[in-house]
Amino acid sequence: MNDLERIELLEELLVRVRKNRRDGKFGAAEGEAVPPRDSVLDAAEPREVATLRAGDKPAGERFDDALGSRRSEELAADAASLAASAAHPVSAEGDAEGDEEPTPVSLAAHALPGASVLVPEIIPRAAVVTSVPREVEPSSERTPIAFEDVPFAVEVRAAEVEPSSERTPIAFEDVPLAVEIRAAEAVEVALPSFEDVPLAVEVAAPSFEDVKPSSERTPVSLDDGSFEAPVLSPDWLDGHLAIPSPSSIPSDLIDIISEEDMGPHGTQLLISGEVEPFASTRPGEPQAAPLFDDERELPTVSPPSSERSTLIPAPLQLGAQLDEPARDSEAEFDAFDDDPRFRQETPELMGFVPLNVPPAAASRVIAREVEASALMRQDTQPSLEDAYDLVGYVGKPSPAFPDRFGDVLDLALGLELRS
Amino acid sequence: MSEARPTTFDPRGAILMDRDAGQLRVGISAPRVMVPAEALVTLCAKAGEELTVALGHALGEAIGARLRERFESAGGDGVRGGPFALVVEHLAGEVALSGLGVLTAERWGKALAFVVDHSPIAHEAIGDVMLCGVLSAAVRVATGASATIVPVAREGTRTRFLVLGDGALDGVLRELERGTGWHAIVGDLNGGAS
Repeated sequence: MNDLERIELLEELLVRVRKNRRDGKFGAAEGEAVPPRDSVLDAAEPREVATLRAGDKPAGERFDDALGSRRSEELAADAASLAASAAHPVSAEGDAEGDEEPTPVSLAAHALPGASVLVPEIIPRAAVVTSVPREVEPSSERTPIAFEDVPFAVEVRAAEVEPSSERTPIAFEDVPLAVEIRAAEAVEVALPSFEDVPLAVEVAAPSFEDVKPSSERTPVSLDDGSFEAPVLSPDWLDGHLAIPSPSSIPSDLIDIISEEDMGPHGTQLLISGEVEPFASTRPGEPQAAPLFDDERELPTVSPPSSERSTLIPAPLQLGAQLDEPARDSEAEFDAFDDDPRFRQETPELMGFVPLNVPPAAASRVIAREVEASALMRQDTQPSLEDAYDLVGYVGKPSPAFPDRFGDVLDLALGLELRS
Repeated sequence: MSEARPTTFDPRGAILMDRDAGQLRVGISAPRVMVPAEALVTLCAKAGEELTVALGHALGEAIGARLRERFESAGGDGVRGGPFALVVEHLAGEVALSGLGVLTAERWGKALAFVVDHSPIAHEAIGDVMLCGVLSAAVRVATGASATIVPVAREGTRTRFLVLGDGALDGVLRELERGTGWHAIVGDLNGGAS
């Protein structure tokens, strides 16, 4: 657990405890009778403070490291301050008596007596709070549970505190807050499921599922005495020499390009579809991918809410009204029109130049857009030339989007800053 | 029209180990030494940018030479005449063979950017300097074009480099010093294209 996570945990503690405080709960499990506050934080605290004033080390040597070189006098002053605030009665109705806002430390002590070991590295004053859990008599009803069943708690303890022979097992099941926090942590760290957004996974987030940890990788011996690293196998490269993520396109750039109306193709669209990432790297696949081989493979046009999207140039704004006969995808076009995000984003995408979208994938998407373009012009047939004009980088080379590496390079090297 | 060109990048057999001699080679190159990336970064940091660029050039020239040989032997128009995606694929494969990360190329209008992701040396700025040397030398040797590679952005493990000519280099460096975002620079580059 890093510092940020500790702070987040403490903040979570604070929120939870405040809620419990409003609800009249102080470490009580759901449905359990709320214990009187005095049974949680008894009058022994001032005596603990007095002990500290005598110059002794704070109880629990495990906090020495966290406290570093703080002088015992400072600890005593902190202890007095904390004990004074903690000694104020806290009622379920809130701060009716006008006591000060509890500190995170004191609140943590209320809500999480057994887990107060979490606090020291965040707020050194928490050393004083160590007196609180020691004053709480363990419940005869508590049944210690195996720590291995509480992974989060075990991890925290292992990360924060050295094992102490004085430490007694904590019944986590009697510390509902700890359990809740663990659950929250589990949610936070859970990896999102990308199963439903295959392109987002395949394009934006390379999957390393097929890459073994380095310790498990075994060089593959070949007959000629050479070897290759499995990570560099063709299959792996197919999946990782990838096109950039469309999501990496900064909105600022979109704004800028929109303002300058640059780019040869005018409007750009966010189009979702059955795009095949990495198709351009497949052996034997020509760059001039067929545009109209199979219209059944045309992608589905849907609102840009899907993450399965890529930037494709197009000659028109699909946000405009399409006065066309009913068609299978009419509802999908309507979805474009109805989606406020599309209306908002479309102008920003004007003139945007495509990334190196896999040609095979792009061709199918472009084909769909060419068809729409023809419909806009009331033409009966989409023009292949139109398609080439649109996607010179996909089809035959065009001056605007050359396909030869040298031409691309020359274009880049010939640029100058306008300002 | 002749379509002679290398096929897709094939790393099989690219790294050769001479067990008897205890040596590694990438293709027919001189022997290589496997060095921990962390140690390399430390060494580069101590050596300074100039020497780090020189080291990057040494790596990049070898990469460029392999690309050039591969495309020329295929009977086409060399690297310059090769399809953009195919050249990038081979360049990326060579960069990966060197253990320098995953390279992709982006075309922002007429501007060209290289992106290197997961590079084990790029967690320090000096690693980006070395990658600049690698890429610029690789492009120069492969194509004969003098390109300057400038790191313009870092996003996590990903570093983005712009491929610049002499006409834009000073201006881009000036804008970067001013804190101008790379996307604004790219927009400006395209707007100022002749």
